[in-house]
Amino acid sequence: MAKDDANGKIGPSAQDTQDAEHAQDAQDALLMELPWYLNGTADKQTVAAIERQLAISPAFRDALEAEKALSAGIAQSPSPQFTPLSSPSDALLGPSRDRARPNPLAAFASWLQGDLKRWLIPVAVATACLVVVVVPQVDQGGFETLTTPGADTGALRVLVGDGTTPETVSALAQSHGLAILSGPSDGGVYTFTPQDGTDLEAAAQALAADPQVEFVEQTVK
Amino acid sequence: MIASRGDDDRALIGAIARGDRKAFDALYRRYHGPLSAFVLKTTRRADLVDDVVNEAMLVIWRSAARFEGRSTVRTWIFGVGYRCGLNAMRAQRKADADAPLEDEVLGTAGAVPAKADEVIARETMARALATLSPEQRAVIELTYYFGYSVAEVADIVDCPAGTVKTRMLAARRRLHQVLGESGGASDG
Repeated sequence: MAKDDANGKIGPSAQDTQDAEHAQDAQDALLMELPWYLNGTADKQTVAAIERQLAISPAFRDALEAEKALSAGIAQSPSPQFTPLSSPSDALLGPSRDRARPNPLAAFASWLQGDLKRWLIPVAVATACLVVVVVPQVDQGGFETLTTPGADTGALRVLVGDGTTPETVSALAQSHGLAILSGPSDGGVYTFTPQDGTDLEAAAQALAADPQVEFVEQTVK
Repeated sequence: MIASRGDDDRALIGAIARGDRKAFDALYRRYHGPLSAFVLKTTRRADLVDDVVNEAMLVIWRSAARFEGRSTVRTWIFGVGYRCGLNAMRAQRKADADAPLEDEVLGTAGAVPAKADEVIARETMARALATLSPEQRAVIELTYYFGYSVAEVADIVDCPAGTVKTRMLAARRRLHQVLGESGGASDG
Protein backbone atom coordinates (compact mmCIF):
# COMPACT_ATOMS: atom_id res chain seq x y z
CA MET A 1 0.00 0.00 0.00
CA ALA A 2 1.19 3.59 -0.71
CA LYS A 3 2.29 5.64 2.23
CA ASP A 4 1.01 9.17 2.56
CA ASP A 5 4.00 11.42 2.46
CA ALA A 6 2.96 14.84 3.71
CA ASN A 7 5.77 15.89 6.02
CA GLY A 8 7.81 17.64 3.32
CA LYS A 9 11.11 16.06 4.25
CA ILE A 10 13.60 15.31 1.53
CA GLY A 11 14.54 11.62 1.86
CA PRO A 12 13.29 9.45 4.67
CA SER A 13 15.30 8.97 7.85
CA ALA A 14 15.80 5.53 9.42
CA GLN A 15 13.14 6.37 11.96
CA ASP A 16 10.73 7.36 9.20
CA THR A 17 11.41 4.11 7.40
CA GLN A 18 10.80 2.12 10.56
CA ASP A 19 7.58 3.99 11.26
CA ALA A 20 6.40 3.39 7.75
CA GLU A 21 7.04 -0.33 8.09
CA HIS A 22 5.08 -0.44 11.34
CA ALA A 23 2.21 1.44 9.75
CA GLN A 24 2.21 -0.91 6.81
CA ASP A 25 2.18 -3.97 9.11
CA ALA A 26 -0.71 -2.52 11.06
CA GLN A 27 -2.62 -1.84 7.88
CA ASP A 28 -1.96 -5.35 6.57
CA ALA A 29 -3.26 -6.79 9.82
CA LEU A 30 -6.41 -4.72 9.44
CA LEU A 31 -6.78 -5.78 5.82
CA MET A 32 -7.07 -9.38 7.06
CA GLU A 33 -10.01 -8.33 9.23
CA LEU A 34 -11.97 -6.57 6.48
CA PRO A 35 -14.22 -9.56 5.59
CA TRP A 36 -15.56 -9.75 9.15
CA TYR A 37 -15.84 -5.97 9.35
CA LEU A 38 -18.03 -6.16 6.26
CA ASN A 39 -20.21 -9.03 7.49
CA GLY A 40 -20.73 -7.26 10.81
CA THR A 41 -19.14 -9.83 13.12
CA ALA A 42 -15.84 -8.06 13.91
CA ASP A 43 -15.37 -7.08 17.54
CA LYS A 44 -15.64 -3.43 18.63
CA GLN A 45 -11.90 -2.97 18.98
CA THR A 46 -11.27 -4.14 15.43
CA VAL A 47 -14.09 -2.04 14.06
CA ALA A 48 -12.65 1.05 15.75
CA ALA A 49 -9.16 0.33 14.40
CA ILE A 50 -10.46 -0.17 10.86
CA GLU A 51 -12.44 3.05 10.97
CA ARG A 52 -9.39 4.99 12.19
CA GLN A 53 -7.40 3.55 9.31
CA LEU A 54 -10.12 4.39 6.81
CA ALA A 55 -10.01 7.98 8.00
CA ILE A 56 -6.29 8.38 7.33
CA SER A 57 -5.52 6.07 4.40
CA PRO A 58 -6.95 6.41 0.87
CA ALA A 59 -5.31 3.10 -0.07
CA PHE A 60 -7.14 1.38 2.75
CA ARG A 61 -10.41 2.91 1.57
CA ASP A 62 -9.73 1.55 -1.90
CA ALA A 63 -9.07 -1.89 -0.45
CA LEU A 64 -12.38 -1.73 1.41
CA GLU A 65 -14.28 -0.83 -1.78
CA ALA A 66 -12.70 -3.75 -3.61
CA GLU A 67 -13.64 -6.04 -0.76
CA LYS A 68 -17.22 -4.79 -0.77
CA ALA A 69 -17.57 -5.62 -4.43
CA LEU A 70 -16.21 -9.11 -3.81
CA SER A 71 -18.40 -9.82 -0.81
CA ALA A 72 -21.49 -8.56 -2.60
CA GLY A 73 -20.81 -10.85 -5.54
CA ILE A 74 -20.52 -13.85 -3.25
CA ALA A 75 -23.34 -12.97 -0.89
CA GLN A 76 -25.77 -12.40 -3.74
CA SER A 77 -25.06 -15.66 -5.51
CA PRO A 78 -28.30 -17.63 -5.31
CA SER A 79 -28.43 -21.11 -3.92
CA PRO A 80 -30.54 -23.73 -5.66
CA GLN A 81 -33.36 -25.34 -3.75
CA PHE A 82 -32.79 -28.86 -2.48
CA THR A 83 -35.62 -31.22 -1.80
CA PRO A 84 -35.53 -32.64 1.72
CA LEU A 85 -36.57 -36.20 2.49
CA SER A 86 -40.24 -36.42 3.42
CA SER A 87 -39.54 -38.71 6.36
CA PRO A 88 -35.85 -38.31 7.21
CA SER A 89 -35.78 -40.53 10.28
CA ASP A 90 -37.35 -43.46 8.44
CA ALA A 91 -35.17 -42.94 5.38
CA LEU A 92 -31.88 -42.51 7.24
CA LEU A 93 -32.34 -44.44 10.48
CA GLY A 94 -34.59 -47.25 9.27
CA PRO A 95 -38.20 -47.98 10.24
CA SER A 96 -39.29 -46.88 13.67
CA ARG A 97 -39.36 -49.57 16.38
CA ASP A 98 -42.88 -48.46 17.21
CA ARG A 99 -43.98 -49.43 13.78
CA ALA A 100 -41.94 -52.62 13.73
CA ARG A 101 -43.48 -53.72 17.01
CA PRO A 102 -47.26 -53.20 16.76
CA ASN A 103 -49.48 -52.53 19.75
CA PRO A 104 -50.25 -55.93 21.38
CA LEU A 105 -53.94 -55.06 21.91
CA ALA A 106 -54.33 -54.02 18.31
CA ALA A 107 -52.59 -57.20 17.18
CA PHE A 108 -54.90 -59.36 19.31
CA ALA A 109 -57.98 -57.59 17.97
CA SER A 110 -56.72 -58.12 14.46
CA TRP A 111 -56.13 -61.79 15.21
CA LEU A 112 -59.66 -62.14 16.57
CA GLN A 113 -61.09 -60.62 13.43
CA GLY A 114 -58.98 -62.53 10.97
CA ASP A 115 -56.92 -65.52 11.98
CA LEU A 116 -59.28 -66.80 14.67
CA LYS A 117 -62.14 -67.16 12.19
CA ARG A 118 -59.85 -69.05 9.84
CA TRP A 119 -58.63 -71.45 12.52
CA LEU A 120 -61.74 -71.72 14.68
CA ILE A 121 -63.43 -74.65 12.89
CA PRO A 122 -60.29 -76.85 12.50
CA VAL A 123 -59.33 -76.24 16.13
CA ALA A 124 -62.85 -77.08 17.34
CA VAL A 125 -62.90 -80.33 15.33
CA ALA A 126 -59.48 -81.36 16.61
CA THR A 127 -60.53 -80.66 20.21
CA ALA A 128 -63.69 -82.76 19.82
CA CYS A 129 -61.67 -85.70 18.47
CA LEU A 130 -59.29 -85.49 21.42
CA VAL A 131 -62.18 -85.62 23.88
CA VAL A 132 -63.63 -88.68 22.13
CA VAL A 133 -60.30 -90.52 22.30
CA VAL A 134 -59.12 -89.50 25.78
CA VAL A 135 -62.29 -89.75 27.84
CA PRO A 136 -62.97 -93.50 27.26
CA GLN A 137 -59.35 -94.26 28.14
CA VAL A 138 -59.75 -92.51 31.47
CA ASP A 139 -62.93 -94.46 32.14
CA GLN A 140 -61.00 -97.67 31.55
CA GLY A 141 -58.62 -96.72 34.38
CA GLY A 142 -55.67 -95.55 32.34
CA PHE A 143 -54.23 -93.92 35.45
CA GLU A 144 -55.96 -94.12 38.79
CA THR A 145 -54.97 -93.71 42.42
CA LEU A 146 -55.83 -95.78 45.47
CA THR A 147 -58.56 -93.29 46.33
CA THR A 148 -60.25 -93.33 42.95
CA PRO A 149 -63.80 -94.64 43.47
CA GLY A 150 -64.43 -97.98 41.74
CA ALA A 151 -60.78 -98.53 41.06
CA ASP A 152 -60.13 -102.05 39.97
CA THR A 153 -56.60 -102.47 38.83
CA GLY A 154 -56.22 -106.13 39.88
CA ALA A 155 -52.90 -105.97 41.76
CA LEU A 156 -51.00 -104.14 44.48
CA ARG A 157 -47.35 -103.19 44.63
CA VAL A 158 -46.16 -103.49 48.20
CA LEU A 159 -42.88 -102.43 49.80
CA VAL A 160 -42.23 -104.09 53.17
CA GLY A 161 -39.77 -103.12 55.86
CA ASP A 162 -36.15 -104.32 55.97
CA GLY A 163 -35.61 -107.73 57.49
CA THR A 164 -39.05 -109.06 56.60
CA THR A 165 -38.69 -112.64 55.34
CA PRO A 166 -40.55 -114.03 52.30
CA GLU A 167 -42.53 -116.25 54.61
CA THR A 168 -43.69 -113.29 56.66
CA VAL A 169 -44.63 -111.45 53.48
CA SER A 170 -46.60 -114.45 52.24
CA ALA A 171 -48.45 -114.62 55.54
CA LEU A 172 -49.12 -110.88 55.35
CA ALA A 173 -50.63 -111.25 51.89
CA GLN A 174 -52.79 -114.17 52.88
CA SER A 175 -54.04 -112.36 55.96
CA HIS A 176 -55.54 -109.71 53.67
CA GLY A 177 -56.97 -112.17 51.11
CA LEU A 178 -54.06 -111.67 48.71
CA ALA A 179 -51.36 -113.87 47.19
CA ILE A 180 -47.79 -113.06 46.07
CA LEU A 181 -47.72 -112.81 42.29
CA SER A 182 -44.05 -111.79 42.03
CA GLY A 183 -41.22 -110.34 44.05
CA PRO A 184 -39.25 -109.22 45.66
CA SER A 185 -37.77 -106.96 42.98
CA ASP A 186 -34.28 -105.48 43.27
CA GLY A 187 -35.93 -102.66 45.21
CA GLY A 188 -37.71 -105.09 47.55
CA VAL A 189 -41.18 -104.59 46.03
CA TYR A 190 -43.75 -107.41 45.91
CA THR A 191 -46.79 -107.65 43.66
CA PHE A 192 -49.93 -109.00 45.34
CA THR A 193 -53.05 -110.21 43.54
CA PRO A 194 -56.43 -110.56 45.18
CA GLN A 195 -57.85 -113.97 45.89
CA ASP A 196 -61.51 -114.62 45.06
CA GLY A 197 -63.86 -112.15 46.64
CA THR A 198 -61.19 -109.86 48.05
CA ASP A 199 -61.92 -106.16 47.86
CA LEU A 200 -58.63 -104.86 46.53
CA GLU A 201 -59.17 -101.29 47.75
CA ALA A 202 -60.01 -102.43 51.25
CA ALA A 203 -57.01 -104.73 51.22
CA ALA A 204 -54.79 -101.87 50.12
CA GLN A 205 -56.02 -99.66 52.95
CA ALA A 206 -55.46 -102.45 55.46
CA LEU A 207 -51.93 -103.02 54.19
CA ALA A 208 -51.15 -99.35 54.33
CA ALA A 209 -52.04 -99.40 58.03
CA ASP A 210 -49.86 -102.45 58.74
CA PRO A 211 -46.60 -101.50 60.53
CA GLN A 212 -44.60 -103.97 58.39
CA VAL A 213 -45.63 -102.20 55.19
CA GLU A 214 -43.91 -99.06 54.12
CA PHE A 215 -45.75 -98.33 50.88
CA VAL A 216 -48.75 -99.64 48.89
CA GLU A 217 -50.05 -98.75 45.43
CA GLN A 218 -52.37 -100.23 42.86
CA THR A 219 -50.74 -101.15 39.60
CA VAL A 220 -51.89 -99.75 36.29
CA LYS A 221 -54.02 -102.29 34.58
CA MET B 1 -28.45 -16.56 6.90
CA ILE B 2 -29.80 -18.91 9.51
CA ALA B 3 -31.84 -17.30 12.23
CA SER B 4 -30.37 -17.76 15.66
CA ARG B 5 -32.38 -20.43 17.47
CA GLY B 6 -29.67 -21.62 19.82
CA ASP B 7 -31.80 -22.75 22.74
CA ASP B 8 -34.27 -24.51 20.51
CA ASP B 9 -31.44 -26.25 18.68
CA ARG B 10 -29.89 -27.40 21.95
CA ALA B 11 -33.22 -28.84 23.05
CA LEU B 12 -33.46 -30.73 19.78
CA ILE B 13 -29.93 -32.09 20.15
CA GLY B 14 -30.73 -33.19 23.71
CA ALA B 15 -33.83 -35.01 22.51
CA ILE B 16 -31.91 -36.62 19.65
CA ALA B 17 -29.33 -37.83 22.14
CA ARG B 18 -32.20 -39.66 23.89
CA GLY B 19 -33.22 -41.28 20.60
CA ASP B 20 -36.13 -38.98 19.76
CA ARG B 21 -36.80 -39.48 16.06
CA LYS B 22 -39.25 -36.57 15.84
CA ALA B 23 -36.55 -34.23 17.10
CA PHE B 24 -34.23 -35.63 14.45
CA ASP B 25 -36.84 -34.94 11.77
CA ALA B 26 -37.25 -31.38 13.05
CA LEU B 27 -33.51 -30.71 13.07
CA TYR B 28 -33.15 -32.22 9.61
CA ARG B 29 -35.87 -29.97 8.20
CA ARG B 30 -34.35 -26.92 9.87
CA TYR B 31 -30.84 -27.46 8.54
CA HIS B 32 -31.35 -29.34 5.30
CA GLY B 33 -31.48 -26.21 3.13
CA PRO B 34 -28.56 -24.26 4.64
CA LEU B 35 -26.39 -27.34 4.94
CA SER B 36 -27.08 -28.38 1.36
CA ALA B 37 -26.18 -24.90 0.16
CA PHE B 38 -22.97 -24.89 2.18
CA VAL B 39 -21.93 -28.34 0.96
CA LEU B 40 -22.60 -27.33 -2.63
CA LYS B 41 -20.70 -24.08 -2.32
CA THR B 42 -17.75 -25.80 -0.70
CA THR B 43 -17.55 -28.92 -2.86
CA ARG B 44 -19.10 -27.50 -6.05
CA ARG B 45 -20.39 -31.00 -6.65
CA ALA B 46 -24.16 -31.08 -6.98
CA ASP B 47 -24.04 -34.86 -7.33
CA LEU B 48 -22.52 -35.18 -3.85
CA VAL B 49 -24.82 -32.88 -1.93
CA ASP B 50 -27.59 -35.33 -0.99
CA ASP B 51 -25.18 -38.02 0.11
CA VAL B 52 -23.02 -35.62 2.09
CA VAL B 53 -25.99 -34.01 3.85
CA ASN B 54 -27.50 -37.41 4.69
CA GLU B 55 -24.15 -38.65 5.98
CA ALA B 56 -23.76 -35.51 8.09
CA MET B 57 -27.23 -35.96 9.57
CA LEU B 58 -26.44 -39.57 10.43
CA VAL B 59 -23.25 -38.44 12.18
CA ILE B 60 -25.32 -35.93 14.13
CA TRP B 61 -27.81 -38.65 15.13
CA ARG B 62 -25.02 -40.92 16.34
CA SER B 63 -22.95 -38.30 18.12
CA ALA B 64 -25.62 -35.99 19.58
CA ALA B 65 -24.95 -37.42 23.03
CA ARG B 66 -21.33 -36.28 22.77
CA PHE B 67 -22.20 -32.68 21.83
CA GLU B 68 -20.71 -30.67 24.69
CA GLY B 69 -22.08 -27.27 23.80
CA ARG B 70 -18.68 -25.61 23.45
CA SER B 71 -19.87 -24.17 20.14
CA THR B 72 -23.35 -23.38 18.89
CA VAL B 73 -25.38 -26.22 17.41
CA ARG B 74 -25.36 -24.62 13.98
CA THR B 75 -21.58 -24.26 13.82
CA TRP B 76 -21.29 -27.88 15.01
CA ILE B 77 -23.65 -29.04 12.27
CA PHE B 78 -21.83 -27.03 9.63
CA GLY B 79 -18.54 -28.48 10.89
CA VAL B 80 -19.88 -32.00 10.50
CA GLY B 81 -21.12 -31.12 7.01
CA TYR B 82 -17.75 -29.58 6.12
CA ARG B 83 -15.82 -32.70 7.12
CA CYS B 84 -18.28 -35.00 5.39
CA GLY B 85 -17.99 -32.86 2.25
CA LEU B 86 -14.20 -32.99 2.21
CA ASN B 87 -14.26 -36.74 2.84
CA ALA B 88 -16.68 -37.26 -0.01
CA MET B 89 -14.49 -35.24 -2.34
CA ARG B 90 -11.45 -37.26 -1.36
CA ALA B 91 -13.39 -40.45 -1.90
CA GLN B 92 -14.30 -39.31 -5.38
CA ARG B 93 -10.61 -38.71 -6.07
CA LYS B 94 -11.33 -35.84 -8.37
CA ALA B 95 -9.61 -32.51 -8.35
CA ASP B 96 -11.96 -29.68 -7.60
CA ALA B 97 -10.83 -27.90 -10.72
CA ASP B 98 -12.16 -30.80 -12.80
CA ALA B 99 -15.68 -30.44 -11.43
CA PRO B 100 -18.15 -29.36 -14.07
CA LEU B 101 -19.58 -25.90 -13.81
CA GLU B 102 -23.19 -26.91 -14.21
CA ASP B 103 -25.98 -24.37 -14.05
CA GLU B 104 -27.29 -26.22 -11.03
CA VAL B 105 -23.94 -25.92 -9.32
CA LEU B 106 -23.74 -22.24 -10.00
CA GLY B 107 -27.19 -21.69 -8.68
CA THR B 108 -28.60 -20.19 -11.87
CA ALA B 109 -31.12 -22.97 -12.47
CA GLY B 110 -34.53 -22.05 -11.18
CA ALA B 111 -33.39 -18.61 -10.09
CA VAL B 112 -35.29 -15.45 -10.85
CA PRO B 113 -34.52 -14.42 -14.44
CA ALA B 114 -31.69 -11.95 -14.37
CA LYS B 115 -30.29 -9.43 -16.76
CA ALA B 116 -27.54 -10.60 -19.06
CA ASP B 117 -24.85 -8.70 -17.20
CA GLU B 118 -25.98 -10.19 -13.91
CA VAL B 119 -25.78 -13.69 -15.35
CA ILE B 120 -22.32 -12.98 -16.67
CA ALA B 121 -21.25 -11.57 -13.31
CA ARG B 122 -22.51 -14.67 -11.51
CA GLU B 123 -20.80 -17.02 -13.90
CA THR B 124 -17.60 -15.04 -13.66
CA MET B 125 -17.75 -15.19 -9.88
CA ALA B 126 -18.52 -18.91 -9.98
CA ARG B 127 -15.54 -19.59 -12.20
CA ALA B 128 -13.31 -17.53 -9.93
CA LEU B 129 -14.51 -19.45 -6.88
CA ALA B 130 -13.84 -22.69 -8.73
CA THR B 131 -10.15 -21.82 -8.80
CA LEU B 132 -9.98 -21.92 -4.98
CA SER B 133 -9.38 -24.97 -2.86
CA PRO B 134 -12.39 -26.37 -1.00
CA GLU B 135 -10.85 -25.17 2.26
CA GLN B 136 -10.51 -21.62 0.94
CA ARG B 137 -14.01 -21.68 -0.52
CA ALA B 138 -15.43 -22.82 2.79
CA VAL B 139 -13.88 -19.83 4.55
CA ILE B 140 -15.08 -17.41 1.87
CA GLU B 141 -18.64 -18.76 1.77
CA LEU B 142 -18.99 -19.11 5.52
CA THR B 143 -17.95 -15.48 5.91
CA TYR B 144 -19.63 -13.74 2.99
CA TYR B 145 -22.64 -15.96 2.29
CA PHE B 146 -23.50 -17.32 5.71
CA GLY B 147 -22.16 -14.37 7.74
CA TYR B 148 -20.12 -16.25 10.35
CA SER B 149 -17.50 -14.63 12.57
CA VAL B 150 -13.83 -15.60 12.52
CA ALA B 151 -14.30 -17.72 15.66
CA GLU B 152 -17.31 -19.53 14.21
CA VAL B 153 -15.52 -20.24 10.95
CA ALA B 154 -12.58 -21.57 12.95
CA ASP B 155 -14.96 -23.85 14.85
CA ILE B 156 -16.54 -25.16 11.68
CA VAL B 157 -13.37 -25.84 9.75
CA ASP B 158 -11.62 -26.94 12.94
CA CYS B 159 -8.50 -24.81 12.76
CA PRO B 160 -7.10 -21.76 14.58
CA ALA B 161 -8.51 -18.30 13.84
CA GLY B 162 -5.12 -17.28 12.43
CA THR B 163 -5.34 -20.03 9.85
CA VAL B 164 -8.81 -18.90 8.89
CA LYS B 165 -7.51 -15.36 8.29
CA THR B 166 -4.58 -16.65 6.28
CA ARG B 167 -6.84 -18.80 4.11
CA MET B 168 -9.19 -15.90 3.65
CA LEU B 169 -6.40 -13.56 2.59
CA ALA B 170 -5.05 -16.07 0.08
CA ALA B 171 -8.54 -16.69 -1.28
CA ARG B 172 -9.28 -12.99 -1.62
CA ARG B 173 -6.02 -12.35 -3.45
CA ARG B 174 -6.78 -15.19 -5.81
CA LEU B 175 -10.31 -13.99 -6.45
CA HIS B 176 -9.19 -10.41 -7.04
CA GLN B 177 -6.61 -11.68 -9.47
CA VAL B 178 -9.00 -13.89 -11.44
CA LEU B 179 -11.81 -11.36 -11.43
CA GLY B 180 -9.40 -8.60 -12.41
CA GLU B 181 -8.25 -10.62 -15.38
CA SER B 182 -11.82 -11.21 -16.48
CA GLY B 183 -13.01 -7.70 -15.68
CA GLY B 184 -15.30 -8.96 -12.92
CA ALA B 185 -16.40 -7.65 -9.57
CA SER B 186 -13.05 -6.45 -8.30
CA ASP B 187 -10.81 -3.52 -8.73
CA GLY B 188 -8.00 -5.00 -6.71
